[in-house]
Amino acid sequence: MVFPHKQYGTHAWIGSGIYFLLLWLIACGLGMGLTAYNVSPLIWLGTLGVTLHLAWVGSAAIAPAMVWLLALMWIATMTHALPQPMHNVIAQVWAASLLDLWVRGGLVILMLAFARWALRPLSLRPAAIFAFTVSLSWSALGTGVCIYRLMSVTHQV
Amino acid sequence: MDQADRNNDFNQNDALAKGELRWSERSPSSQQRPKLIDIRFGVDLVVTRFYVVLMVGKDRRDQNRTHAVKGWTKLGNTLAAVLLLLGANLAISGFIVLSLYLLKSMLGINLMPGHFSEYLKPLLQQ
Repeated sequence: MVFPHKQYGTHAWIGSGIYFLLLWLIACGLGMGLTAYNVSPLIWLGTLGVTLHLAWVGSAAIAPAMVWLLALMWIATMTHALPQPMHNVIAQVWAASLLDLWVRGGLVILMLAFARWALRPLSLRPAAIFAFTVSLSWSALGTGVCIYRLMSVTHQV
Repeated sequence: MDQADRNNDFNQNDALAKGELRWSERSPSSQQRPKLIDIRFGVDLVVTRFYVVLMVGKDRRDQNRTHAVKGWTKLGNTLAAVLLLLGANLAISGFIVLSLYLLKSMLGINLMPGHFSEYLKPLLQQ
């Protein structure tokens, strides 16, 4: 009897591991970035909704997710949003921090959309893929929030 | 589609129906020839799902369509296509303008004094 996951070699497993480690780290950075900008609960809710949609649908959800990210970036630019610790910051740093957040968001969207492709070696059912992807992205975002809060508390002390 | 293509398609379909030809063995018909550009992707909007197909290739299509589109259907199709193109154009333009603006700011190029939101405030207050 041949198990479906046996057809993938060790390289595929290592590749998947690196893929999800990178996804977790970038999503963690995105969580830190969103906390630094002190975004409203509505934006948090929308972002979590976008991750749910991406995890469930896959690559077909890239377009609406990118539009959501673009709208957020426009709002941040128009309102001259600044990260919490920066108040009188020069324009270069402000623009670089926004671009950084944009790139992180874009990478998380693309990596979440193609997560099912990276999960092929495990031969999981769609519901399991959804649960894995959502728990991974939400845990990364949550960890990012916690790290940022801990860092700001330590910095104040 | 020329007569030779039509005959080829007909013969192959006939052979497929009779079981004399396997699907994998048939030669590509005029409709399956590789295109210069062949982009296909889905767009899921939660409540509904669309597919987008963009193809560019040598025109060998049959000019007589089997289902003629006219009247309100044609108007609706045109309106939907215009709205779709405008939406895509707006999103792509928004992406390009914002990325160029942020890149310019990051490089320290200052075309106007202050931030452009300061110029919008008086307009919004009017």
